[in-house]
Amino acid sequence: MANRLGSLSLGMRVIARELRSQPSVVISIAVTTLIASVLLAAAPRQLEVVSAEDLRATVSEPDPAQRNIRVERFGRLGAGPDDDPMRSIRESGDFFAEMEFPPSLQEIVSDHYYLVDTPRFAVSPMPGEEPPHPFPRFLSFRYQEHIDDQSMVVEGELPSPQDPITMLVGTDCPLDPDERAALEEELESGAVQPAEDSCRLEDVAHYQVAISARTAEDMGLEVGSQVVLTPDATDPLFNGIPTDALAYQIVVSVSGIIELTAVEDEYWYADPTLHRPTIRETADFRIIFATGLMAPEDYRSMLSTMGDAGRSYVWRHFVDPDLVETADLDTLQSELEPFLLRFTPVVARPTDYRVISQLSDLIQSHLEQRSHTVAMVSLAVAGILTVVVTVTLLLAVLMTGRQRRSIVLERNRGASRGQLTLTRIYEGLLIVVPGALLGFLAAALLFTGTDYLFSYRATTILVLASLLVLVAAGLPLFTRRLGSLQREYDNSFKSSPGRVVAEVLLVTLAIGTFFLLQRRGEADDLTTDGEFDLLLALAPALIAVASGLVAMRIYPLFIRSLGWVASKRPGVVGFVGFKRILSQPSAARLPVLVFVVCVATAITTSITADSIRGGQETGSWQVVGADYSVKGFGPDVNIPGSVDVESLGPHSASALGKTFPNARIQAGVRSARTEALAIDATSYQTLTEGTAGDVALPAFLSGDPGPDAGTASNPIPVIISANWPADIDPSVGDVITLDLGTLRLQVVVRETRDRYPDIATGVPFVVVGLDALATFDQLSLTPTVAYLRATRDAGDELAANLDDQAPSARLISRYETLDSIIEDPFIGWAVMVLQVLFYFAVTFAVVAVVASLAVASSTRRRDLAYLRTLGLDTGQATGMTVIEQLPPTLVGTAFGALVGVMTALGLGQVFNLDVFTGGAVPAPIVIDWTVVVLVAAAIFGVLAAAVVIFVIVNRRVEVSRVLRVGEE
Amino acid sequence: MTTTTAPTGTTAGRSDVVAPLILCDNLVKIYKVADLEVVALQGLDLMVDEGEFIAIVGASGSGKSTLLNILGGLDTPSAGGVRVSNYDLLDLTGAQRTSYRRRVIGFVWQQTARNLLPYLTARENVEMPMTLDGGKAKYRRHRALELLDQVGLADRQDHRPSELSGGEQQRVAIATAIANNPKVVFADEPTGELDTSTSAEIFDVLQTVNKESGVTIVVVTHDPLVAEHVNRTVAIRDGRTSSEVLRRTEVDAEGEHRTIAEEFAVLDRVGRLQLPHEYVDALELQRRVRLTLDPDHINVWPDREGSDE
Repeated sequence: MANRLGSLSLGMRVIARELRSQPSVVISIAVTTLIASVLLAAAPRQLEVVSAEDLRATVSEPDPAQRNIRVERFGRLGAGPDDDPMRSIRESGDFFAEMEFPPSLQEIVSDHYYLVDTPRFAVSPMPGEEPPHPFPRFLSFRYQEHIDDQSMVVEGELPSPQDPITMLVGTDCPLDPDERAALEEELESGAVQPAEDSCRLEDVAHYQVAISARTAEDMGLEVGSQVVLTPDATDPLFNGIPTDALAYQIVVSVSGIIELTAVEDEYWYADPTLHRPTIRETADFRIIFATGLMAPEDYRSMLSTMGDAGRSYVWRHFVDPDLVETADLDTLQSELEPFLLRFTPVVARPTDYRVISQLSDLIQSHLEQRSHTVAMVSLAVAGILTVVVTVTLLLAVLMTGRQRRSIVLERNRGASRGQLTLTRIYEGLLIVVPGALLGFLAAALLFTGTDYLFSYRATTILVLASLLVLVAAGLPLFTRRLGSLQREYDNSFKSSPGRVVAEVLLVTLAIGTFFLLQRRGEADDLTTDGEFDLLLALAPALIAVASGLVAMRIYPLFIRSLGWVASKRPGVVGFVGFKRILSQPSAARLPVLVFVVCVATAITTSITADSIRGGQETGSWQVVGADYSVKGFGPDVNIPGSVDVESLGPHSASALGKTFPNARIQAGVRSARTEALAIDATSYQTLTEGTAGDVALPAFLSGDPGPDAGTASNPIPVIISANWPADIDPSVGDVITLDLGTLRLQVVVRETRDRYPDIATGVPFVVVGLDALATFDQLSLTPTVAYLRATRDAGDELAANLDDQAPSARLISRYETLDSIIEDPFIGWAVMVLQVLFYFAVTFAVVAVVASLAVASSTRRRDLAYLRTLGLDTGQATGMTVIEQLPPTLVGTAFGALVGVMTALGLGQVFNLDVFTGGAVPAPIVIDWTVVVLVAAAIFGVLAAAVVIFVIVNRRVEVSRVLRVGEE
Repeated sequence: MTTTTAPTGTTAGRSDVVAPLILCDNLVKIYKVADLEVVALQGLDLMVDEGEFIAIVGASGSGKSTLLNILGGLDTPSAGGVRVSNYDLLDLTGAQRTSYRRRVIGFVWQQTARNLLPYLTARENVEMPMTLDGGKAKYRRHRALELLDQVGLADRQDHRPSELSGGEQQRVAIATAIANNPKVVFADEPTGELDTSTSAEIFDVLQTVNKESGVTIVVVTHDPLVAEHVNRTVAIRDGRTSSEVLRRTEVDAEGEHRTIAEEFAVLDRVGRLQLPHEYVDALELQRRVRLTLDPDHINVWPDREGSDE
């Protein structure tokens, strides 16, 4: 077979020698293939690495309550035997998990435990004792499995069962200790018989609890403290129980102080209940909700003490990230979604099991993000392939041009088209395959991903594409009439009808693709969601190639126009230079195509990356609302009372706001829940001015609204969300009712917006001026959020000062939010891929400059030599070289930049860049003209250098030798 | 061959008073090819007067094209001196060399395709030297048409080289070469790619140009037809001028014009003389010859004794 192939071609030895005769071109093609091969083979492997990294982050970094599985139910589960009173709770949870958890979920759950919470009780001091503070206190009992391993007793001891305490019970019992003692004695001796419902002696259940030091402090308790508990009828766990059945008391004593060993540990599920009480506070009032650790042995007793009151049973199942990594995500997701749906019913009985987890959302988010990243990488792969193919075509044309004489000679000696084509295939294999293989192996060694199949395919496509263009570049010389080839100057290579038809089809396809995708973008029907979109992946490359072909066709007209202008002016440079360009065969116009493709790819990529970065910046503003925001942990913190904003630390501007997470609006008979924000508009505008988060607040949000503000006669102007539930659709000019809980206002809609900073995207909102609310002078309207403009460095100081001033407040940093977006594995990698493609395209645009100079160098050198015999001086020779090189570079770069910008502007929305901005905001297309200028500068800088080098080298060439005068 | 004489440093029959247009003095040109040195010219002397039409002939590798390159300012000699129209070609600045090429000389090359720019019309090609020299457009156009008319191609002015025959291309090349009224035109094998009749046409054109414009023409050629058109044929052998053939027209006793060709051996400045090969072969001259001086000539005798040794 080898011999047969050998006889069909011109022989490997001849081929090798021919290739050795032009090492620079051969090496250029090989290196181009090598670089592309490394990138193409590395991309899918690295995608796998990044995907695994992101999946791990997805299932291990968020709140444990989000990533794990929480099963809960209310009701009363009976107690187990004395030696294992919680057995029924444990078994109930195990049974549910075993029977209901889908198999794929069972495989990724590594551990679980249960906990039980009792209803809430109001805390009172023991009769005759003074409370530690005037604020209402509440206490619940909790037992949590394995807590012994996660906490330690720092004072006292763990709770244990206690005997009931006999004490006076009744509404009319005396408070004075002496009177109580006397009455107790009388009742105990039987001297006094108490009337029904009057003060009497009863055995009151007595339980011990262990609490945290923080709980003890806030509740005003210590080891040994005793308090009286009475049921808090507002607790839903007491629902359905008659009031008289709640008229009992429990005595609780503090047996010890416990310390949680690692509050951040996943075991605690980000649940601080045992660590610290929940406090709802205003400037001068607070309510404290605490939880104490009970003895498991008390569970049975409590069941009887608390009667029909329900319990909250929770089973926390922990998902192991390692197991998720190796799981089949598609199967897991397909089983998890219906499972969660089934056990998260809108209407459920309290005793039904409910499953709470965002694992499915997290996995879905990971899969979607992966899909978007694959789409972005596909864009990059298509870009790399297009750049490589066009650059290889240019180099192949250069190589073929240099082989012209030998090819003509070979054809003169009888070489057939088939032999020449086969020879070219051998040449192509010799040039391309080593580079591609080397690149593939390098990627395999350097990148540890496991997607070998895709890598192999990409490398194969690269080899085939490069081979195809190498053969295509030689075909005209293999197939044209020999007579026309033998002429030194032959510009008779007219485009074949087939080529014209192919070009028209390609251009039509590109235009169609552009408008089709643009319509998709306008319709918001972005098909990149979830699935790989080949059309979208190929679109920029297709548009760039089609534009390049159009530019190649327009180019001669442009040159002809310049030539006409030049012919009207004195001087030979322009006149001859443009005539020379027009005389060249169409292959000499290939640099135009290469420049268009490279520059368009670079510019589209750069704009995309810049837009993502800009979107990330805007997104961080959207999420936080400022460089820093100060809010309470959970319940609101009244900023003026708790935090002195001015003394917090270095900041250049600040603004206060009040959030109403549960406000409502009413328009006519329809109403909807909304988030309302009252903002100090003047300060906030100053704070955001000149930043990516500039909100451009209108003046109507500032200042005193005047008399009767908030009434129908003087509604307060507001900005509202543009998106509302389907049954309500307030629009500009409408007067609607805004219910802020303690205040109902008439407001007039003056503006609608898609989003507002610090309000989650998609949540309906109403923004009102804080000045307007200040006129109502209500405590409930006190600002609860402060926005600060400060540098990244100021963060630590601000956080430390805030912790000192108000431990219940937290500092949210926009810089940290931005960092977390940028460092997201998929997002970070997608941006890096775009950067690599940018530098790749620019590098090959520069390579194209040199190659384009070389393409027509032999005829140029000869023409210049001839003209030198007529008296062409060095300046004119330089001018002619520039005239010849500048137009394709200029046209290609300008056209490429235009196409790049248009592609980014036209298809940017379809690229779905908002998923790379942290998802908070759409990424507006940002055109950084500096980059465009720098790309052009790089190309023209290299062109200038290349022309200077060519002219210097050309001056050293002997004119006579170039013209081959004489016979010596 | 009628007689063989040796002109002493000047061309026979030429006035000594007028300075020659071209003067080559002991020209040496050594090429270095890889590690080898090739001596292309080894002490060549040549003088050409203004208005002459001369041919330089010689075997392949004799050095004639090297001479032409040096005269055209395309190459520089390794030693010796060369002046053309008061331009010392060894001592030219870049600007002077450009000026020399623009105004003093014109070239006609052997390969028709390389004589003209293929993407320009005949007229544009002829205008090219004038454009390079800063000529006004109107003048260029007028002059180009005049020249094309002179070479018989006025009706082909808008044709590109590919639309012209080889002979027509060479005629356009001649028109181009004389566009800037040069002092001398160098033609390197101008008929090398042409058939006999077309070659004759080209030499006719060159002769016409020589006569009508007075431009000096130096033709390097193998073409035997050239002898009928030139005044002088200089033969080069081994890098030196070996002989010259002078032609003159005489009217004989019957009143008819008769061309008489006389071949001369060339004596260089140091007295070296190249004997014609046939003379050397006929007398089996080797290594040394015996010379005897008579009042009006020198006798050359074989060195029989030396041979016997």
